[in-house]
Amino acid sequence: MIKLLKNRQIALSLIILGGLIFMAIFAGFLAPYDYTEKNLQNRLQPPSSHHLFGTDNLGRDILTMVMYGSRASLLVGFVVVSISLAIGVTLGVLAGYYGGWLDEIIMRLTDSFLAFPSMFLALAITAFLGQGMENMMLALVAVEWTVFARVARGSTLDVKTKGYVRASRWIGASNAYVMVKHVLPNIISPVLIMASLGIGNVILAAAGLSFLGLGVQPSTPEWGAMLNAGRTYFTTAPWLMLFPGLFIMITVLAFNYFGDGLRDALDQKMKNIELEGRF
Amino acid sequence: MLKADNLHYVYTSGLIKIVKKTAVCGVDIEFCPGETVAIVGESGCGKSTLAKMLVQQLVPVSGEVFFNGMKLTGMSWKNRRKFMGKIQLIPQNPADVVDPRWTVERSVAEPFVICGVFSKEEISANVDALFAEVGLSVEHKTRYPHELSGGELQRVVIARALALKPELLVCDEATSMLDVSVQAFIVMMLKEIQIKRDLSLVFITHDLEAAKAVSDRVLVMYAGEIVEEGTDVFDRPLHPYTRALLDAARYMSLEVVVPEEIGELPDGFSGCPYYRLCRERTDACKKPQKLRDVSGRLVRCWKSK
Repeated sequence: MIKLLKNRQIALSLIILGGLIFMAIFAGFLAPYDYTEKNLQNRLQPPSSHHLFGTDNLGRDILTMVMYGSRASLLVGFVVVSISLAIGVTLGVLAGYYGGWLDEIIMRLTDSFLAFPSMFLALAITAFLGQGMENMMLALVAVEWTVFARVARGSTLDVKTKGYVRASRWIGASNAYVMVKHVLPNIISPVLIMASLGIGNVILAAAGLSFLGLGVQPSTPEWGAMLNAGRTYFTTAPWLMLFPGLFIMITVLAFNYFGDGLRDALDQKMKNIELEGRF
Repeated sequence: MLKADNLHYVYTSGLIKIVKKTAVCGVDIEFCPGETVAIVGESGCGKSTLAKMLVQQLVPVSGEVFFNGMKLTGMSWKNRRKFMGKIQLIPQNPADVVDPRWTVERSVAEPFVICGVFSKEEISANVDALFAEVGLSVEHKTRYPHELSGGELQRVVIARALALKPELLVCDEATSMLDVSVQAFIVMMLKEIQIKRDLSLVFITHDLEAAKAVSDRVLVMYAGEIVEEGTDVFDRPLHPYTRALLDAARYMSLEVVVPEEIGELPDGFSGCPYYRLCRERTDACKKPQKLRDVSGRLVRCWKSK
C-alpha cells in the first residue's frame, strides 16, 4: 500500500479523487447556497465573489450545483462499476476456467453485447425502460460488464494453466475452491485496473446520457444534465457549461491516471524498471 | 504397492493434420514399499510422461494403474480424492506449484485445509512439524515464494507433498534446477525422510551418479520403453543403450556413442527402437524386442546374456 503511494501518478490522482469524494459527501456543508434556491433577479450572473462559478438561467449558484452534482456522478460511477465487475468477473472466470460450451455461450453473449455501439445500446435500454437514474445505471451496466468478462476470462485462461492450480486439484481441491482461492487473487490486478479506468468511462457515459436528457430528473443536479441545461446559453453565458464540463474532465482524468498508475505499479514486468528509477 | 500395467501414452497435436507422438509405449512397473527406484534416460524418452501417469495427472491412452490393489485409472475424481495425498509428485520447478500470492506457510497448509478434517490448531502444529522435517526455520513461514531460494522453495514443495502422509513420492527431476551442493542436501534429506516414514521413492533424473547413489533399483528408458531394469545396472550394463549412456556421461564425447548414419527408419519399423543409433546392431535387431530375464536383470536386447 505504501509502495503504491510512492508512485507519483497514484498519489496525485488519489489526492484529486479524495477531494472530489470529500466534496460529494460534505456538499451540504461546503456549498455556499442551497441548490434548490432560485433567484430570478440573479439569473445568468458571471462568476463573481458572491457566486464563484456564476449562476444559471434560474439564478441558482453553479458552484453549489457542481458540488451536489458530484454526488450523482460518483455514485453512478461506483455503483455501475461494482455491479459490472461482479457480473463480468463471475462470468469471465467461469468461462475461462471451465472452457468448452460454457465458455462459448458466455463469450458469444459478451460478443453480442459488444457488437452494439455502447452509447447506442445504453440509449436503446434507457429509451425502452424509461428515463431515470436506476434505468440509466442498468443501461450502463449492460455496456460495462463485457469489459470485465473479457479481462477476467483472458487472465483466467492464463492462471488455470499454472502449476499451483493443478497442484491444488491434485490434492483434492474442488473447482469452486480453486477458483475462489487461486484464480481470483491472481487475476484481481488487471481487473482492478480495468475498474479504475471503467469508472471514468462510466461517468463520461452517464454525463452523455444525462446530456441527452435520459439520465437523472432535471431537478436533481448532475454534471451531464447541467451541460444540457446550459447549452441554450452557451454563447452568452459559457460558465454554465464550462464548470460542469471541467469537473467531468478532472474526475475522468483522475480515474484514468489512477488506473494507469495502478497498472504500472502492479505489473510484475514493469516493477523492476520502476524500482531502478525511483529508489 | 503401486503397480502399472502396459501403460501407453500418445501426444497428439495439430488441427488439420494430426501429428501423433508416442511418448510411453507398454511400460509395466511395480513399486514395493520402502523401495527407491531411479528412472533414467535421455530427454524425451517418456520419463516425465510416465511419472505423470503414475500420479494420475495424465490419463493413459491405454493401460492401468493400481494402488494397493485398487484400480486408479478410470476411477471418478470423487472416489480418487482419498488416494490423491498418498501418491505425490515433486516437480522440477518448485516455483511452478506454489501460488505466488500465498505465503509458503499457507501453501504447505493447503492440503490440510482441502482435506477439511483438521482444526486450525492441528493444521498449524502439522505445518510446524513439516517445516522442521524439511529443515526450514520458523522465519521462512511468512515469506512469499519469490523471497526464497530455489533450494528453500523445493523444501517447501516437499513439505507440502508430505502433508497427507504419502506412500509414494515421485521426484520428477526434483533437483536438476538446483546447484550441486543443494542437490546433495535435498537428495539426502529425501532419503532420510524415506527411511523415517517408510515410503517409496521414485527418482526420475538425468544425473546417473545420483541415481546410482540413492537407488535400490534402476530403470533405463529409451523411446518410451524400458530397455533395462535391475539392481546393478550401472556396474554391469547389458543393453547397448545403457552402455552408451554411461559412456556419454563418462567421456563427454559423442564419437563413442554415435555409430555410422543409416538415415531414417522406414514407417512402421517394429524392431528395436535403438536400432538406428546402436553400435552393435545386426539384422536380427529389426525384429521386435522383448524384455528378457537375463539372470535377474530385465533387458530388451536379444544379444545380452
